[in-house]
Amino acid sequence: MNVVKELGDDDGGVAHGALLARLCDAVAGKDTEVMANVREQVLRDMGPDQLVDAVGVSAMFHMMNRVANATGTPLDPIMLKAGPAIAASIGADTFFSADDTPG
Amino acid sequence: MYTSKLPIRQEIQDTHAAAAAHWASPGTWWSADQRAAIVDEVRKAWDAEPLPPWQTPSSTPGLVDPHHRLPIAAIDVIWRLTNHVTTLTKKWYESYVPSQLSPQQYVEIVGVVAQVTLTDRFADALELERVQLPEARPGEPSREQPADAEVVAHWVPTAPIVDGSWNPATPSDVPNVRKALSLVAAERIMQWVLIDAHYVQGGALADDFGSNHWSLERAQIELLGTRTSAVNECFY
Repeated sequence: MNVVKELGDDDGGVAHGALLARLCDAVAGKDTEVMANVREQVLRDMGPDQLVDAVGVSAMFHMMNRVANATGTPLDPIMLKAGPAIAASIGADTFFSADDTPG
Repeated sequence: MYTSKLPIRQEIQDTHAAAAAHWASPGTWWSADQRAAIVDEVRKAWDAEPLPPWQTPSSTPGLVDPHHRLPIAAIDVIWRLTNHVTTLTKKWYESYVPSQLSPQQYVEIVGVVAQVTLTDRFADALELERVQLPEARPGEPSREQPADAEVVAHWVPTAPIVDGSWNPATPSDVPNVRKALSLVAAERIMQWVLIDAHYVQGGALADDFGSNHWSLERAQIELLGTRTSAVNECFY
């Protein structure tokens, strides 16, 4: 879960995982130079289709995260048992939204 | 739509165009002009010099036109949703709803802000021109109310949904994020049109972790979602 919790060289067992994690941070940020550098690396190492689709997935989660955080969306029953362990492993138990996400 | 050398899939082109037309149409509680103003305000907020989360644009000299088409409370909510998604709390929500915005108005704002954020983060990341809105369509908000909406487990009221695409055996038991905008059905529907074009279609979520989607492996898709959610501090 390190690749989710912090940036580094660890792919977390996922092809190009570390690069995709950096892409997520660049999409969320406002630094156009950082975004350009990551974009070029994804193009070089993965290809144009993967760049478009990966940016699309990350952008889609920006929508979902706003919907969930803004409406107090509660955890689904399927997550109630596994949720605490997963949250702790990626550091999500420290999020503001952890206090206000009914479980 | 987008002009680029990049291979932007038709589903993405079509759904972003559909979203723009949706924003420029009369909504459920806001007019087309007001919805276009919501889009403008999301972009203004994102492109502005950052404010700390506790500082509202309406309390910052020069940021809000006194003759704005939207109420001040709506503008402050839009900026907070756009730039400070990690800081949203129930107490913050209750400082606006219902005293300054109705739950229905708030949910519609959330839907539009979230959709614009999707298209703009996509465009900015790929150096594309952001989606332009067509001319606002005339007409009145529909004021359509779902039956049986009430506060159950979300902060906002929600309505029961029957959707067998998640699990045909239990069509009333859908993920809570699917219900989040159910108070304003048009926004819930647009949200899911966009999801299906970018992520994994609803019915395939739980049972195909070994499959590829579009050009990505499922594991890559879930990593992108988890890392983005971590950056946005989304516990759900």
